[in-house]
Amino acid sequence: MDAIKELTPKQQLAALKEQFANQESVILDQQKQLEMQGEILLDQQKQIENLPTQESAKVELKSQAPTKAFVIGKQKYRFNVAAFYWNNEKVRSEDALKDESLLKDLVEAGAGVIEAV
Amino acid sequence: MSKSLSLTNAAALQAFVQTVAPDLLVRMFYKFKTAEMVRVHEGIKGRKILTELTFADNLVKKWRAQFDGNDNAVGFDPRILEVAFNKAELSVIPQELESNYLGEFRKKGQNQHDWPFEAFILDNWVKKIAQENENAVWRAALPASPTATDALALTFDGYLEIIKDLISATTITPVVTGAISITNAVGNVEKMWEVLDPSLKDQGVDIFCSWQIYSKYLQDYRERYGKYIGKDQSGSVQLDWGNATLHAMAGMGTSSRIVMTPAANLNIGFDSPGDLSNLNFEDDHRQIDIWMDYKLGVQIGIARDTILVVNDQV
Repeated sequence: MDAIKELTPKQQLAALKEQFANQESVILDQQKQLEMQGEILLDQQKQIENLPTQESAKVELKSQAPTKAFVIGKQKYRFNVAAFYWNNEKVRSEDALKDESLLKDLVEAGAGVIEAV
Repeated sequence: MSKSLSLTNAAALQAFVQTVAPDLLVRMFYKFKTAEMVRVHEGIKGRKILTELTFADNLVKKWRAQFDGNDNAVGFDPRILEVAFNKAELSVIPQELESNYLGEFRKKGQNQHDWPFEAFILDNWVKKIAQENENAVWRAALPASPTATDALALTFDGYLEIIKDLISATTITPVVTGAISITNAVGNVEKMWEVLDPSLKDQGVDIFCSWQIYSKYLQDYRERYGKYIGKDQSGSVQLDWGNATLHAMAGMGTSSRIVMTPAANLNIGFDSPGDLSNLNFEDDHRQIDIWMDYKLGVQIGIARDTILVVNDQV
């Protein structure tokens, strides 16, 4: 600043303008860098937000139902439960597979314990 | 109309002359009915362990001098009630109303807080949240891959999903009813009643179903017995063949599942139920931010055959 005082007012003005221009470009560079860092942080935030939440993710249960299918008419069916109540009796699906008339009744009733395959 | 009066030019402006009704129309929302019926647990920040006390059979036996208390006579069966953290937010810039016809309801001047219909909109916003809660406690299902932007119904398992998992795990056994119709609804509910533990038949039990199944039951009953069944104020009906009350639950949607268990066996967890009406208002320059945070989750207390009786329809 002392060097500027020795200059004429016009020269002082020109020197100050140049100094401010330099400072402005430095500030603009810093601003650009900050913006880039901000974008990187936003990207990272998005990635983190879209990650599955480990602790609350659902673990699908494996069905205990028999895998063996049966045929009624021309349609193939399979049990989707291990056991069910039928006429107030608990029946294991494994046992039901051996009882053709029960299987027919289940199909006729539109039972939800079997599904077409 | 007088022929001396020329309305030709005025009629050309007809399309622009409109009256704006100073009220808003909204759908009629249903309330959070389930929370009024089941057991509510407060103060849950994460998980609460509900414990079922179980007793083995044959606690009493023939006398003899030797002391031989039964092994494993008393058991503790934990059930985890876990709550999920949720939020509801609303951002409003009341001045933006002035860019459309609703702007006429704002007062003279530029008061950024002047928000027409504020009370009405907020009242219905809270009712809509209650509706979402009602739906979620029954139909919510936690996905295998949750994300940060999931809706309420994806943040925990509702009763129907819990029941589905209990059946898959063979913890409970469904009663085969087949599809429920207006000719078999009464008979099918009776089939489920047969499976129910006799102690609950004494004590009384609640039967939860969708409005669709409820209507079929009433139609079947009317046709069978030539009379209408009596309802209480909430629409629930006391079944005349047993100590049971049938409830239509809007939150069950179009599910065909029928759930027979005491209402107290269904549990809802909150941090504080008061959070659901605890609206926070914050000014952000011209914008008003309204928000509430709350925790919600459900669990079934005793999940065993004959205590929790369900049919085979989903």
